Amino acid sequence: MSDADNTTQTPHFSDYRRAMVDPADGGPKFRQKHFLAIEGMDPIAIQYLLDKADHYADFNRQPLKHSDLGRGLTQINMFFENSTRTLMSFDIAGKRLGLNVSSFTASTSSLKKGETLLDTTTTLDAMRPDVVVLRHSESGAVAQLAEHLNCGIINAGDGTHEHPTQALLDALTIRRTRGHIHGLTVTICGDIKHSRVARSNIHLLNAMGAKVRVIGPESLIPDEIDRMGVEVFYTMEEGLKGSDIVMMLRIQKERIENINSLSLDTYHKHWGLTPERLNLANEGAHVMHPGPMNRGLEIASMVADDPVRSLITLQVEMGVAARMAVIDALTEPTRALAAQSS
Amino acid sequence: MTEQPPLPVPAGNILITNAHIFDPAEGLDMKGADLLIIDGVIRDIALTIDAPLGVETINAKGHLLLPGLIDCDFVDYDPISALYGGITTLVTGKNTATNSDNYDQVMGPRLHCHANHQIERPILASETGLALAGDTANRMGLEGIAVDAETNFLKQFPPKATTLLGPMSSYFGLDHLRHMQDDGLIALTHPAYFSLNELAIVGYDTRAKFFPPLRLDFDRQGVIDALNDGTIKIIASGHVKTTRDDKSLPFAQAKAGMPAQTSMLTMLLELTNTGASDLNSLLPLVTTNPANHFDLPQGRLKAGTPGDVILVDPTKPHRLLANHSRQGHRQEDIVCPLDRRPVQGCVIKTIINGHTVFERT
Repeated sequence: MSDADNTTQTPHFSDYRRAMVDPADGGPKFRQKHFLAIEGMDPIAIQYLLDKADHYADFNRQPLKHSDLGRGLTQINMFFENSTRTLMSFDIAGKRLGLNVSSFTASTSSLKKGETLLDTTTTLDAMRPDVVVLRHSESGAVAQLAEHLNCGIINAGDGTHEHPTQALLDALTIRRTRGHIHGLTVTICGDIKHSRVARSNIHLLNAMGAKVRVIGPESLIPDEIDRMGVEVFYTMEEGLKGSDIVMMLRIQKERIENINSLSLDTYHKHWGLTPERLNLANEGAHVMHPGPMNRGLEIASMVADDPVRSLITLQVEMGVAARMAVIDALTEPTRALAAQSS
Repeated sequence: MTEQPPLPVPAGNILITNAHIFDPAEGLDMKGADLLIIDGVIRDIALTIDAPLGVETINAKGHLLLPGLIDCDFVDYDPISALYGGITTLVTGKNTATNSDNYDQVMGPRLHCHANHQIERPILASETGLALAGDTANRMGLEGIAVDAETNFLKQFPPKATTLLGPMSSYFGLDHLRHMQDDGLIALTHPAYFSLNELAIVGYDTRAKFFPPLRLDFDRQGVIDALNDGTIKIIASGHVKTTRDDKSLPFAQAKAGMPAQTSMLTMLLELTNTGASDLNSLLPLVTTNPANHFDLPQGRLKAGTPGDVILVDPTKPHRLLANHSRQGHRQEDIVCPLDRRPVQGCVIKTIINGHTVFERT
């Protein structure tokens, strides 16, 4: 094929591979010890996780969904912030891979008795887990704790920083529905300022070659967000035009009520996703939401329950598969070591 | 002049020979000169002084001899760090968290408590962010304070004359002050704002957490410009005694500030060594200017003033370590964002009241 032919095609991200940086074919494709953030991740590693997750998505649709892959390994879910669905998703993912899973939330730990966060974590580290899933309400807390732990850490959300497994499951959902991520226009709507889901998704979608837009009221879109590689819109009417995927974010009611110029009614009126607004997007555009939803605030029930366009339940299903892929990838070195010694 | 508590350092006699005596306020720039302190008071400065009987003589080997530094804005009283950094006078006031009654009577710097020493912080109470609003804060998911927070404060509450205002940290805030041209207004800054920029917090490095937060390098350059053109009249350390426990917390909960007294002079020498500024304009900011503001006799090299002087090697290469009590560079001792920074210049001797209280080994 001549160069002239090439110019008509949009280059795939793998066309940009650099010989000195990227692993040679056949080498290890995932070389991270932890899974803390999407920012800075190699697109090849993301691709590797998505391929693995794709496999687990099919695996999870079998009648018997159990693998002995992680037999003998221990997973601890440490949740220093309330969560039900993410905790459950990690719990199921670990158990389906055959790991021994234990979970605790801050309310049951000795943190309440005045122990420092670092002490609690080192105590749990002494119990020799192989994977630790951490969620914390402060940005950066998970990365800080990872420095003091000897096992693989998975970030299950830290403050308003990142929620990398959510981005991975969203990407998997898009890839399974649309066949590819590259070239799609994905629009993220809502409280971008306080959303870790938005940050992780912006990084991942950009790395995989999608076009990312954000929509929201001015007070919920931080300054200089465009430097993260997004196009900024302040009205749904402008931003939705030409979108292939519309990703709604959960709105915390207190945050809206704290802004003088906004009320819950005006928010729904201007930024709520209604069927009419969705029609502004490209034909066949899909709707996503990380949950839990506020029906009638950021999303209308008509949209959320649309069997064709809403991917919300598929996202929950893909959540287990994506988390299985991450646990699988992080325990790979340990499993290789175990296989060598036996 | 304000009341002076009894100095824990006894009055001493000392003759320093072969020094580069430098004090722009007194017009002094003498190489190979001698300085004599008798009974804790500078007696004479000349090219050659004969040692009186029984007076200890030290050879400065051509190093810089400067007046002892004055620090008028710090959070924690930390006499050992002050002496290590060549600070011989500490001025306290309402804004400092410490209470002068509780100070240990250790061999430390002079301490002046001014009832009306108050520093106006150029930031609105509504600003509660952890980092400067912008790309770094966005990526790290930290709440940002507005880029024009300092300018907004100055516009909303124009400072009164003879107010100490600081720490100033932004280009536009300083530019605003420059155009106000109020001679009575005294702006101050901390070394952090001319030696670090916001990228120091990347990776959630809590050591570089400050309030007000570190800014862009553009602002850092603006602070250096303001030091050079006299918009900033005083440099104070903003010293906070931090421990590993204070800093090994999530970013939002970690203590703000750094132990800066040990490195204050070295960071000034970094500016002179890199050609960003010169000692002629920088030295008064830590000596004569605060001395004049608080009506103190020290801070200058002149016969009849207190014998507080420091010997400085302006080009000695070393790596900074704020936690000077530790010999090793263990990871857990690193509590200051400037630690391990390769720098040139350090204090080699601190003399208070004619008595050597610190000597670098």
